[in-house]
Amino acid sequence: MTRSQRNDGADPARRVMLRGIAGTCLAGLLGGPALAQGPAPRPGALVAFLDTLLPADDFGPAASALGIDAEILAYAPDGSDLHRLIALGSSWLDGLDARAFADLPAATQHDVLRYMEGADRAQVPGRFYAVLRQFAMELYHARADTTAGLPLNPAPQPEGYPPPWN
Amino acid sequence: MRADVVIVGSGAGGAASAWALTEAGLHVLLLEAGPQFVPARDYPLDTPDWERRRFPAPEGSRARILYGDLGRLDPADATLQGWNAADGRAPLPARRIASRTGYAHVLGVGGSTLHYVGEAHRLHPESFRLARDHGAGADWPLGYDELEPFYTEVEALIGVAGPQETGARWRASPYPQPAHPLSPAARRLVQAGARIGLPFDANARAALSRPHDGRPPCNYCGQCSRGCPLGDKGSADVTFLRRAEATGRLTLIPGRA
Repeated sequence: MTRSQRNDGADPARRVMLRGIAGTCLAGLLGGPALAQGPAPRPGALVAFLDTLLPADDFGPAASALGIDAEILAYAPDGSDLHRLIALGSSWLDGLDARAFADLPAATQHDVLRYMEGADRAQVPGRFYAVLRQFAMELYHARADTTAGLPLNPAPQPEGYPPPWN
Repeated sequence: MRADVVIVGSGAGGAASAWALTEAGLHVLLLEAGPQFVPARDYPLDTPDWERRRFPAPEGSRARILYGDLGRLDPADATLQGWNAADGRAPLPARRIASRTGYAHVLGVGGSTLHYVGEAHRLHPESFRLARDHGAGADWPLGYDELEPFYTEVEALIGVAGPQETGARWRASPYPQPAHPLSPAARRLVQAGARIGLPFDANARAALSRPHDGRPPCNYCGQCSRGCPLGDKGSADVTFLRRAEATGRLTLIPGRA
């Protein structure tokens, strides 16, 4: 799920609770006034979501430290499908609990993302996770300082990938 | 300046025409609305942020293109319906919408060959007679045997790499370049196909497997559609137009750079 898998021992009961919350919130979001009113992106939830995916570790800084949230929003002008998805997804995250998503314990944030990872991609949580994860990984690893400690060839040229291939 | 022929558009058709006409001794004026792309500047695939860029879009290189919808699939042809694991199948008869990503129109010297991936297949001989044989579409006014010498000529100029096996698309001479090696995944596919009697051949590609005409071979960066910085991909600018300019009889006027 994330670059740092540090939460494999999460409480199963908490997951069940989160799934219940997620289903309730999703039904409300898609069928209620939130969609008609067009919620705005919630920057705090977006930042917390991205930092849960890409936290600071031995290999690089957190996504927010590199401004990945702002880069993603730059791809999502008002009225675009991506803007709407970010708005719906971040609103869904903040609606899971009385506290904002950014204020939830890290373990709970991990559980939420784990739920989203397996959710239906035709619905907001699953679609938001899939699309935002793709954006975040691509933009994050486009920064040279995120791969400095990894044995990765960062660009396809000038060497290319000549055979033999195994 | 006096030209024998004026060609509007320097894509695959215009470029090939310019090459043929200049080789025949005519002076050609080639007008292109888009800019001249500079591979070393416009296709930077050697920087860490390369994935953030798709094919470049300098000023004047994008036309206003309207994509029509792709119609509705007849429920009787439901077996032809596309699907994927994430989204499943769209309900029939859903209107199919063209993607706005991926292949798109390029205004520039070389046209859309600048970002095509270099597929270089010949038309199947039976496809020239679809109306006669299958009652669909329209027949071509010529047959495969009449077109074959011209396929051979341009494949040699471009440097098409293809397999020895020809199948129904018979050839007067082998591909000018050996086929590209199969990837590990393709090798597995070939092995699996052989077990069930389904043969696979290497793809015919307009990308060099050997040096040709002052161009280097492909180094398999896998980013053909982002523009080829090496010039091994047989886009019209490095093949037909370069040859036409070498005759001294081509005047090319591109749009804004």
